[in-house]
Amino acid sequence: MAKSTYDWNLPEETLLRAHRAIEFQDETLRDGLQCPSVVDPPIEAKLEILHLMEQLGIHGADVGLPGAGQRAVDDVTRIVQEISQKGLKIKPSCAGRTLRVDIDPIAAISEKTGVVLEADLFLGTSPVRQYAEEWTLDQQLKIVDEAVSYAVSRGLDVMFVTEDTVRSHPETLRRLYTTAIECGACRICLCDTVGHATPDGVTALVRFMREVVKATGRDVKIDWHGHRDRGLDVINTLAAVEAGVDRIHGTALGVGERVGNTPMETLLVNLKLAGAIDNDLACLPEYVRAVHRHCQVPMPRQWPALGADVFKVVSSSRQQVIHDALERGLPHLAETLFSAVPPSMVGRELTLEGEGKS
Amino acid sequence: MSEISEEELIHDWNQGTWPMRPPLLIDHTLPAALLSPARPAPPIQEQAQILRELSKLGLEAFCIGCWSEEKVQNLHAALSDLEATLWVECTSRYRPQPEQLRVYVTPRQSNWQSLLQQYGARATLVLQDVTRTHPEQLLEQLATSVLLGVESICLCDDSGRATPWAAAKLVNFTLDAGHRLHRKIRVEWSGRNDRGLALYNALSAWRAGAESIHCAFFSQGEGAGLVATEQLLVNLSLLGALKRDLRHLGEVSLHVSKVLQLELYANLPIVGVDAFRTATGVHAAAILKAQRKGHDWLADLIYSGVPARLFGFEQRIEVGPMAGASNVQHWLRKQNLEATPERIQQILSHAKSCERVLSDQELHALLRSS
Repeated sequence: MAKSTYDWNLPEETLLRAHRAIEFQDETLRDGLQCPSVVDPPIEAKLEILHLMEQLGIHGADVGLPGAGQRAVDDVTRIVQEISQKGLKIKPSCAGRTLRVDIDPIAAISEKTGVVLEADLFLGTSPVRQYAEEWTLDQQLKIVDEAVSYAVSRGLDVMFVTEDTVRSHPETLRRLYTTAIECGACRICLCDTVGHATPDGVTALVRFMREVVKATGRDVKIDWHGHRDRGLDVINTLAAVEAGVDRIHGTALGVGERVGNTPMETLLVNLKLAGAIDNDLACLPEYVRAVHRHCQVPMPRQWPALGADVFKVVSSSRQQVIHDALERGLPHLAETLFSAVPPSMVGRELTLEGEGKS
Repeated sequence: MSEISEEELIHDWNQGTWPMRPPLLIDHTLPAALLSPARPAPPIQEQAQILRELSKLGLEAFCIGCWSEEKVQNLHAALSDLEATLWVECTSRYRPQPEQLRVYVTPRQSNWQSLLQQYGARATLVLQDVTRTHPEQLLEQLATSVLLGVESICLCDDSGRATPWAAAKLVNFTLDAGHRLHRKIRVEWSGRNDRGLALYNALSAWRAGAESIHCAFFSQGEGAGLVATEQLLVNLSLLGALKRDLRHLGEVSLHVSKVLQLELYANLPIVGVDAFRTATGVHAAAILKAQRKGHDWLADLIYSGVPARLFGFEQRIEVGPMAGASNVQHWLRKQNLEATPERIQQILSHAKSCERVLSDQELHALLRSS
């Protein structure tokens, strides 16, 4: 191998490529709108964001929590109609508690639009939550049994979600998920609701849950949903991919509860760099700008791959090396000399600060 | 009230083993933030005060910039009272004389070997773009530098390409080279955040044996910036390696952002205004139920992976379109107002029709209007 092409990253990339196809679930229009600084945008803006998700090749979108009120019901209905009428590939889902009062509006939208919706039904399962809420495991098993069976009977695809999974006891998880699967859940979601996980924890959890699913003998998919509280969201999600989850969740600009969810754009960029996906990411700036503008959330200047400053080269010595590469007719080399992400991959260009040109 | 401990209420899947000894954090906030010529530099005394504030967090190692710049030499003079180790970048023309200064040298400098010879153990050799450097070339540079008396090597992922596995392999390779050369090598890790992996790359390098990590508050630095100092401090604390009082983290972060005119984005982990803030009904209800159990630590833990109180923050519950009755009850109680069913209903129905979280003033105006 030539000295100039050596890459210390290579085993990771080989590992990622070895796995089956990864699916993406966009939570911008549901968990994203639980961000305390966010503006819930008008329906036209939500539709614009939805079409950008479709353009990026995102497989599924959680489009709201209809149990929150009439406005949510109206917006979710309109989004689902848009998907149906425009023949979009993206699969819509809705969030709800494991309560009939939350399941009924989802089922009603599904019946009204003629689209089979995925109901993402969640329940807090960590001991800390069980203690505060005074829930027993037997009570929770009954809740899950009733809620999942009811949602399935209403014609919904059910993903059962345990909140705060990474702080939940394995036996609790085994019994709740097994119950949900036996009642007809076709997907389960492991949730780092409070942003507590480290990659070691994610790996251990995913491996354990794969065994639980295997023991049911059903074809049930596993999702991973992470948060940014410790700054480990991206690596946790990549660890979940490596450990064998089927679908990973993210939001544009990481918008979400507290400081947010795993940024979808950073996931897409990492998995493309690793050779695990081949999506066209040229409209990524448009996708994050739409959420930045419509939801009025900040876009830090140093946000990976998309911040205003990330492709700015400041030092004169680096600028000179870039010039040299360009003069030799090597534009790809020039744009990757000092940047892990080739700007052209995300529809952007290098800027040499001081020269005011790219 | 039943006696129950934090340990009983969390089954922790995070099973990894980590070194007991924390890495030395070499904070680069000042030079990283002032890298852009567009950003005005505060007066030298204010820059010096920033480092004194950072030392309240137990930080004791700082890079202050390039010795060729007069302002860096002035800053060094202004820091004579600070008990800290200071690093500077040196050039062939501008070679720092003060003996307590540590210097960074890179093989890209034409006379790097002569600089290493001059500074010996005071020098750290910075190997840039290390994830694309061939092992043979790395070994050559390591051998040359240790023969010149260098004890510290900085593995620099200055394009942010590394993955955590690569970071660990590079550290292992370097330490192994030291064994083979019969010299003790101390490894520093410096990585950028272009892929959003800088934090875990740094932790991974530390787990593999790196003794020092380069960092900067709020990920300042060229491109996507360095690993954020505040995130490293909190994670090292949560991993059990850093046993120090970090309750000043909030106020120190505010001071740094104000003096350097850096925006503290709402969505920055730990220090952003949203870090410990919720307006969601389910979350608020759980936090309030935890408070009613009589344990503040429980309320701080139930919907947060980072305990706010340990880092100088507190949980905040607000009222917005996703709120439930609990949010409103909490707000009314904070305002010393009786949480009557009428008030709760009035606020909640208004909040549900809004597009964002409501401020205290807006909620008071709403109550007055009834």
